[in-house]
Amino acid sequence: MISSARHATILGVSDVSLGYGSPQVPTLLESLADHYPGCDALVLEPDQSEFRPQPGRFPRLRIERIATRFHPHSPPGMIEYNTRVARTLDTLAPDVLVFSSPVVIPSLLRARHRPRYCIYYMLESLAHYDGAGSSAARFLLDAHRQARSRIDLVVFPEENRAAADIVRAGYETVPLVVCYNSINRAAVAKRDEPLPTKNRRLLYSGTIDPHLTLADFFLDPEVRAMPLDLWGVVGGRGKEAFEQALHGDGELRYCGYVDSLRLAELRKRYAYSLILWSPANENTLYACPNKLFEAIADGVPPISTPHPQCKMLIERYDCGIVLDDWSLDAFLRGTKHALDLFGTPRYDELVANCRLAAERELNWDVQFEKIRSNLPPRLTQSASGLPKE
Amino acid sequence: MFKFVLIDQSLTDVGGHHYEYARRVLGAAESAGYQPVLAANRKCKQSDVDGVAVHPVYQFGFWDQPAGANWGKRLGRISRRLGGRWFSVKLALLLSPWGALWSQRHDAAQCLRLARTGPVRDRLILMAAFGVLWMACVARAVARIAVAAIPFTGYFARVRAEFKQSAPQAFAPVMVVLRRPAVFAHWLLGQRKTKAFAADTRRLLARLSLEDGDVVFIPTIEPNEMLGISLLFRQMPEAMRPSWHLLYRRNIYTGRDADYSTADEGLRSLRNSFRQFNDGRGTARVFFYTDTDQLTDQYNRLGAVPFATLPIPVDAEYAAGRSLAEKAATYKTASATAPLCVSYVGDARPEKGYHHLPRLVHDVWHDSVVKGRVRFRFQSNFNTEHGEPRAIVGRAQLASFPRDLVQLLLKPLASDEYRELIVDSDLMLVLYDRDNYYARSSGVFAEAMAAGVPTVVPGGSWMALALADAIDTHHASLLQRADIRRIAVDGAELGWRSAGLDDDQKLIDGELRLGGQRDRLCHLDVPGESNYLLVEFRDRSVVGGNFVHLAAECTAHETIPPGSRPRAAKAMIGGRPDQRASALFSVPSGATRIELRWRGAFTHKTISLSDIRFHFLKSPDELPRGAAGVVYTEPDEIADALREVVRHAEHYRTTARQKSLKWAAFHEPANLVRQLLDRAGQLAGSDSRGESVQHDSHEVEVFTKVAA
Repeated sequence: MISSARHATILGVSDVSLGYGSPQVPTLLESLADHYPGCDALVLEPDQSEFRPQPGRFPRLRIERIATRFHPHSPPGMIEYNTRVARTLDTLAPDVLVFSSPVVIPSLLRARHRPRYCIYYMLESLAHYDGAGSSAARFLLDAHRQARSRIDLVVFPEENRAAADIVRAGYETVPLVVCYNSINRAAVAKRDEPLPTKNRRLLYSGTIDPHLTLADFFLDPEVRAMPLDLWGVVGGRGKEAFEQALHGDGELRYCGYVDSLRLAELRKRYAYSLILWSPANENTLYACPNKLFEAIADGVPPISTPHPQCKMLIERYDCGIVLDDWSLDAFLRGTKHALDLFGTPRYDELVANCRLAAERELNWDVQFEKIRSNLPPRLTQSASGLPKE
Repeated sequence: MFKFVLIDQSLTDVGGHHYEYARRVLGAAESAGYQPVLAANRKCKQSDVDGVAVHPVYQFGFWDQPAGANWGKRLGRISRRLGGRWFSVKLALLLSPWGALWSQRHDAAQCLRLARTGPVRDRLILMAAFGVLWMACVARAVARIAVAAIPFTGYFARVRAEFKQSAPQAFAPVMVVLRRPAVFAHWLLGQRKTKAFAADTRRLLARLSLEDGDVVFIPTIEPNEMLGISLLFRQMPEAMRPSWHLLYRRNIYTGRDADYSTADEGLRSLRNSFRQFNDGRGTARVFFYTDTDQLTDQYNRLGAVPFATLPIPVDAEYAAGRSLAEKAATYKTASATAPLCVSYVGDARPEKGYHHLPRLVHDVWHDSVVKGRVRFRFQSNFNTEHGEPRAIVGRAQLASFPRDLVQLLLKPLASDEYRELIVDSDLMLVLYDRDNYYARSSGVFAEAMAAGVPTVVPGGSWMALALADAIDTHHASLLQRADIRRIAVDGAELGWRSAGLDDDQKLIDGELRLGGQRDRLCHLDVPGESNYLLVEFRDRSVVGGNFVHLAAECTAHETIPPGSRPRAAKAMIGGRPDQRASALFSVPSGATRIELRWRGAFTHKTISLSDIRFHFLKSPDELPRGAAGVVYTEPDEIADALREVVRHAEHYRTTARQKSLKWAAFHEPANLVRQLLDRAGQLAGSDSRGESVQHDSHEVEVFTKVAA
């Protein structure tokens, strides 16, 4: 049972169990809790049976699981989750509300309580809803438009998505910021510890989908001969057969799934990190993958397909390699070039530039600064609502 | 005293480019001895602007919105309000047990979960739902049995099918319209606009009683309004007494000259409008203009009426501002303590490249802004109520920078503020869409050039063509410098091949033909210690707009391992038939071989180049790539272009000032008025003499003696 708040309250509403997916929302909530010291910071998460609660992962936050009678991602489960979140909003009466998924907007609209400040961290592109044509997708787009007057700030991870989605959601007049998906803290980025010895291998981590993440490249004989490790879950159509095909000859190794903390440890030892998305839809064309920023923060130069934001940032800091296009030829050219560079002064320069990028711009402190300038000066009359000097 | 009537049907307020244009031209007309008169939109509340009588008579602006029409907005508001109410009802139903039941209607067994663990209210609702569902099933069964009992089965179905097929035929003419409502609405609006323009102008002329010797100038017009003038001539013959001057400023073709032939048929209706006007104008003296040579070529291609190019009126005060700045020696250099002021002027619109600004600021933040070399000042007011999406995002991104380093001007500027903004700038960003602005002019660019402010512009645009002379002159001067050693290579002596093929061959008659899907390549061995490569050629194509995309890439290097090459440097040059074009590339230290990749920038059709020469230069100091401004090839090179100007601030300032002398003389408002009068044979004082000034590759007459 959630107790009613005495101090100013910052509430996050997640549509997934925390600690398994995108860490942006808990990171933002922690920063807000730091910004308004003395506030309660609480997150509501749905009860996903497949993911255990991880209360220790975000020590600054109190995490409440909302039990539902159906899986929270099924239609009745979503309805139930929204209903319960709406009730909780009215009970808790939070001062700041943060949410990141379109599917929880109905709860915001249903609640009688209007938070003092509401932040929509739009991690998910609305292109999917716009093109789906289903009544549920139309309903959620409508919900965006109806919620316009209740939202005080929209945070987008990518510029082009922002331009497209403010039209879809009708948010032309809602204040917005573009925060890159770099959630590593500046303190970590700046630390002067030497990098671990690197092996001359390429890392691919994340979803392995033959079409969506161009994983069919990994079956090409020339690619199979490359020193390349794949970490992640195979997805897409015919995934069993594809996973079998990955276990073949050559230097390429399919290593299976590890959690994000272990992956972070492993990543630092690799020479490069591959960032591959097919430009099949707007969401992937305007990709802003977490792993790009994680690689840069860890001093692992990324090799990326030319998504606008990835290309812009890699070129700005000269901290990696941008493939000429999305073709296998370009992939082979880019990766061979990268492997040729390994061990040369130019490679060291790329690594140094990664750390410089993480220190200067691609860290959460710099990104949060953009949000901070939009926050209200105080939340309540009590001392708990005052921002930190 | 003769009257000079300027009709700007879109002018609604004091401020902005419409007003500035009108003010400058009317001022020049007054100086030429004419009584200035301004006709404006009905929304314009001023009766007098700078001493000029204003007649707010026009219902429609250039952009089709009739004055006072807000029914659309009202209906939109009502519709949104109703939609909001309906959504609330849907939401209340959805987030209720009924909603949960509805979502599980295809799997009723699942609903038992609700019954098992839900609150009492949910259980009651579940029972009620089952009851309602059961009754509905019974009702449906009864209805079906009743329908089956009716004799003459299929009778109603047949009637319904026939109605469905025949009813639309009865409304065929309406259906034709409904099938493409936008076309019909556009046609209807055009008809309204034509009639309204004729009626409004008739009312204006009735007030003014114009005579022979009077001038009517319409600086922004479109074909429906032109047909309105034709209608006016029929309804009011005395309207033919003054001379009429119509200026077209919008492009009618997209792309470059080589693509125009594919669009000719699509312009049949426009061509016919001009012909219809020309046939119906009787004895009226009507003259047609554009404001760039490229636009003039486009309109003359219609072959309906002759067009000529007019100057873009720029106040003498822009040039005066430049002189003052020179006298006061206020210009800063990058090495001085004061940072260079880099400006963007105009509405915040993606078409004008506003959305490139956040990236530019980010890109140069640490090496130029933080180090105090530059600061930014961006005009950031939107052109529409809320702005266009990419401009909205761009402005939000820019707002996160410190205001003392990135200043955003959020409101439209008064004339003086606007002029100061340009004249005080050290660098003007004119990041316009190069496809839209290949033929169209940029007022901001014209003003910056007149003020002697260096610019950064996209390759393949009208602005780039305007800078080409200065850049080529600068490159030619490098070859004359005694302190620069040079080694020349003739293109005819090299082996050339097509990308992806091994067809090494010499040029035939020294002519390089670009075209098709494959780039043409040549390789150059770098003579020792050369640090620059100057490439020059002459465009032998018959039509204009054939820009050449050049990429110079180091393919062999003393220290960098094979396969790992620095990024290719790019240039986009040419576009002027039979003219020399040149590009300067820096050669990376240690490079031993350079590959040059050539292709048509905008077309796969054949482009012929001759007199191809390469000059390897060894310069003791760093050389500026351009002059008066920098031309970039892709938007991601804007930051490099800015750094280039910062590094060579004094050079760009000097060359921009040199260029501004001729530019400002040609674009004087007085010159525009003289050209109008001259074309109409009304230039008072027959002893005016002409002085030739080079502009946009055309010899134009600049009259140095004001009419008596």
